[in-house]
Amino acid sequence: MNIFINIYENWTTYEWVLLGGILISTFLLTNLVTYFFTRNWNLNKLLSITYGISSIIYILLIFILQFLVDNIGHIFIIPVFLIFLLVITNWFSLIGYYNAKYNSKSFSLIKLITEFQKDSIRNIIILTIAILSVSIFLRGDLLFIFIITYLDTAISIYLTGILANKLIHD
Amino acid sequence: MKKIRFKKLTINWTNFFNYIFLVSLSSVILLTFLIALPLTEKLTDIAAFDLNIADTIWEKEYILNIESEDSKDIQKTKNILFKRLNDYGVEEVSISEKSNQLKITVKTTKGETYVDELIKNPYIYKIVSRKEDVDFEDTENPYAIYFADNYNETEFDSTSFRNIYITKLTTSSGDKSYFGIAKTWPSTTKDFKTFLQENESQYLGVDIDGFVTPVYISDPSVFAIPLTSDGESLDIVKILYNDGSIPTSYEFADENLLETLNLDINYVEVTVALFISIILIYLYLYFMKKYSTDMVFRSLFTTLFSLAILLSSLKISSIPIQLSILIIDAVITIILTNSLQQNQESRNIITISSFFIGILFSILGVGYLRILGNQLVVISIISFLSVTIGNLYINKVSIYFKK
Repeated sequence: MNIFINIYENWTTYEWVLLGGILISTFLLTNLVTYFFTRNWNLNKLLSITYGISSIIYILLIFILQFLVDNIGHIFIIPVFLIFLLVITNWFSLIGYYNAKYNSKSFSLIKLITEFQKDSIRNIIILTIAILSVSIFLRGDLLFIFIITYLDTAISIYLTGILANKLIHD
Repeated sequence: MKKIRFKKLTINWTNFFNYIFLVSLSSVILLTFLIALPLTEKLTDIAAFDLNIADTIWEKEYILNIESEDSKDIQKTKNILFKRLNDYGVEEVSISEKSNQLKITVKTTKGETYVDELIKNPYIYKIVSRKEDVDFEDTENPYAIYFADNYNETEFDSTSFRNIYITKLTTSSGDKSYFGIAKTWPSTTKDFKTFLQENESQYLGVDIDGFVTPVYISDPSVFAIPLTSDGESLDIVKILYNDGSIPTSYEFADENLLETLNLDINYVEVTVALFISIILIYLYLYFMKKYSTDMVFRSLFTTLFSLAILLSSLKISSIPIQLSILIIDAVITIILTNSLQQNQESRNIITISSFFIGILFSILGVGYLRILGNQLVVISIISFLSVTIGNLYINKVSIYFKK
């Protein structure tokens, strides 16, 4: 728990306010956009659960990382940005598809979820190859940043695809 | 004599302009790739377009002794010091406290002198008036005008002002120079105006940490502090004046330069690795038959094109960039462009959302988050443009090949 105590003691109020502002604004804005385009609360639930999963995995990974790295500095906040961006990009591919196909006769939520799961798997594959190929040239903190980002994003996106089956029905 | 008759030439202007457009677009795309490729800047001396890699990272810790023991004062001092360093763009800042001592650790590529200036000076300023019994014209004591002891304190200090607005004004000699215009809070405006009117055509001063900058009041409607700085040092002055007033004075006690591990790779390796990794990604996708051949080809082209635009824009604008940030930027560009290309129906919403996330992080982010936020704003535009232009180009070219 050392790392979390250190963060609590060494961060200024200014940092807490700014980081809290980013997290809350992103959470609210993406949920607002999701509701605006779909009017389906279940999708908002799914998005919120995705954020929850990402946050828990990130905290777990940082906890494990303290045993592998001498000093966990501010640079390890970069995965927060990358995870947010990648999860949101994947999520908005679902919202875009929903918005474009909603009025067509062949549209169904089951079809939407199947398409979303396919897209998610493709995105995970692209992410895997992109990160693997650049990671060959990296070491130290930057390598760990990419590992954290990859593990967190891939697991979150995959679990969102699975949870979508349970939460969203026609 | 026989007349030579030429067949009337008919030109299809639409085709003609399409052709001209395609040739121009091909040249621009080719040029973008050439500029982006490593070491091509060595081919010509006409234009300089080297990639401006940020200086090496340095790490230092500073010890400050705070005069107050009030926890609120210490907390406020920590916040202001962090805000100053963050606004200057210092990548990593850590501030810890032990009784009334602050330990600030910075890890950055920014100028060491400026970081020193931001940390070592509390920059507590107040408006002062001249003591009547001091001879400021004494040639044997030319520094009398700079010592705070020779001035009387007034009721106005940094808390009386909203901000100090930095602008260029004409001096009495007719030259242009930078001044800081003091903008008062509504509650102090009237009193400050009266104070300036009372001191019209006289010298006042701004006492900053015990040293005074004399200010001649020629026009009582404005309090203009003369600034000798320019360029980056002017930015530092702006930060010091406007990032809040430190509630308690402190003394700089010690500093230690720490050993830092810099990423030991050059940008040529990075660029080649990135281009190869993109080709590998799409070769894999092609053989896995996850996408149609047309989609794989289009995605490969648009992704390479967006990476080329990113590198070219960095080279042309000469904006300094850290290699680690460049690698992260490249990964974001690859994934974002691929996502835009393969989700046609979500193209606008993904572009707009990534653009706004970029803006959000650039406004509220600290350290690296702010840098990445700024980069994301540019990358989302580049990715969208490369997908739009890339698809248009492929469509036009394929028409000509099919003819």
